[in-house]
Amino acid sequence: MPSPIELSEDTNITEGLGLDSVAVMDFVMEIEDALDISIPLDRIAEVKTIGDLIATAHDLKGVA
Amino acid sequence: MALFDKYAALIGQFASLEATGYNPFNVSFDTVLSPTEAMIGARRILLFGTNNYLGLTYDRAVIEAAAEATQRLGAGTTGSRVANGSYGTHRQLERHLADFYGRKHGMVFSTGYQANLGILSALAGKDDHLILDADSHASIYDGSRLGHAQVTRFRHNDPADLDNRLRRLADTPGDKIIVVEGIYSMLGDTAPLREFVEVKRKWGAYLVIDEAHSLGVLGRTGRGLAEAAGVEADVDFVVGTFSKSLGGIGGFCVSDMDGFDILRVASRPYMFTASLPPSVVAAVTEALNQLRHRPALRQQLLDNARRFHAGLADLGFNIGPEASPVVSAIMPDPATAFTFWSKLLEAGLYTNVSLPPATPKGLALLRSSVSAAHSRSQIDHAVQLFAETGRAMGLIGDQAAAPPEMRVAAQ
Repeated sequence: MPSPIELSEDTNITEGLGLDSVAVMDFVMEIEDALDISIPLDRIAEVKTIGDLIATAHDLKGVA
Repeated sequence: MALFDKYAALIGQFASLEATGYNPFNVSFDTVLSPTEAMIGARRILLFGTNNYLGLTYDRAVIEAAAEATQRLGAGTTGSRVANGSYGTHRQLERHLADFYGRKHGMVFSTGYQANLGILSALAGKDDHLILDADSHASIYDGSRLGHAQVTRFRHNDPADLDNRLRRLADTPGDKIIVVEGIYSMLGDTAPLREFVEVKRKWGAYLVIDEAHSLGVLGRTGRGLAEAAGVEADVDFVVGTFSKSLGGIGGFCVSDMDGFDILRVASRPYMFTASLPPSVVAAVTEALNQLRHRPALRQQLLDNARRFHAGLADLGFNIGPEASPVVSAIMPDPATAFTFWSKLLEAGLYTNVSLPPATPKGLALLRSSVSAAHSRSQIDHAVQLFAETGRAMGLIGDQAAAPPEMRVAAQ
């Protein structure tokens, strides 16, 4: 990566982080390991931004 | 905005490949001469990218069976088996497949792709869970999406990750169905099936294995990886295709599960499509007969696979560790893969280019598949062309490789 990226909940995971579809799936698997959750494929498809990912993880963890 | 604007990136990539004069995704053979040779224009092409593992497409008995069935039963069935009726030969092929696998039930689909669509979408209901190997074939992903189950993935060939996924689901209601493949079609690697079976038993899950690329290749009698690993009793459903080692088209599923036949009226990809024509059913039935009674074909295939694999390994290509009929050389990037592929085709050798997202880990692959029908001299010629092209492109060193005989003897 050429320069550090400022992350916010609005950061788009593919465009903002420069990840292609393969890298996104690997990224998701790392998140799944770290949080001990499994994110179903249809839920992954709905995730566009880091905020979406946080909301999905909270939901799957049962955190309000 | 035009309808196809959403494909702008894809259109650009495809156009640039067309512009080179060699587009690996748009190859057309003017004449096919044999399982191993074809013509493009006036040029004779050696085929190393067909999945024709046993070379049965030109087997005399297979062709005669297809011709006889066409004469006797006509060119097509013009309908689905559920709405318009099965032919006796559909049922007969299903009995032959069940008998070959030592299973109670067999079901035939019109393509291998549809076999996965039809089985996965029907096995897993709304509250069930499909757990897929991350490197699964597109038909497994598409079949999972066609149904209404929750779909999650585990890391490729990783029993510990599968165990984690099933543990997370332990308190969730619904059946858990694991889906793996025998030989993975991109790199030719096999699943650690014994370890997967242990995990499956631990959590009381079901196991589906797709033997598309391992039928006729692995196992004492050619039934695939489950036979080779000695775990057939723990595999609940075997899915496979007729379009690789059996040289035709179509797919199947065999199982011992009680009540299996209800899938015939529950599986939409089985119900709402036309059935296989008599010629294909007869050809596949005879090809299965050949597979069962000519184990020498499988031995020849494995000998050829080892020879080709050793040849490319000796040259210094980055290839998978297992000598399977699928041999993929890992290329540094897609552009190099395209150039390598087109230079080989120019020299008269047909292979495949495989790119992400169809490939694991974003790899660009130059993929070859070996056939029992390849002669030693064809294999050595292919290796020679890889050597010349690889050296010309600076991908491998200049040192002469050991003769293939020495490598094969050493294995």
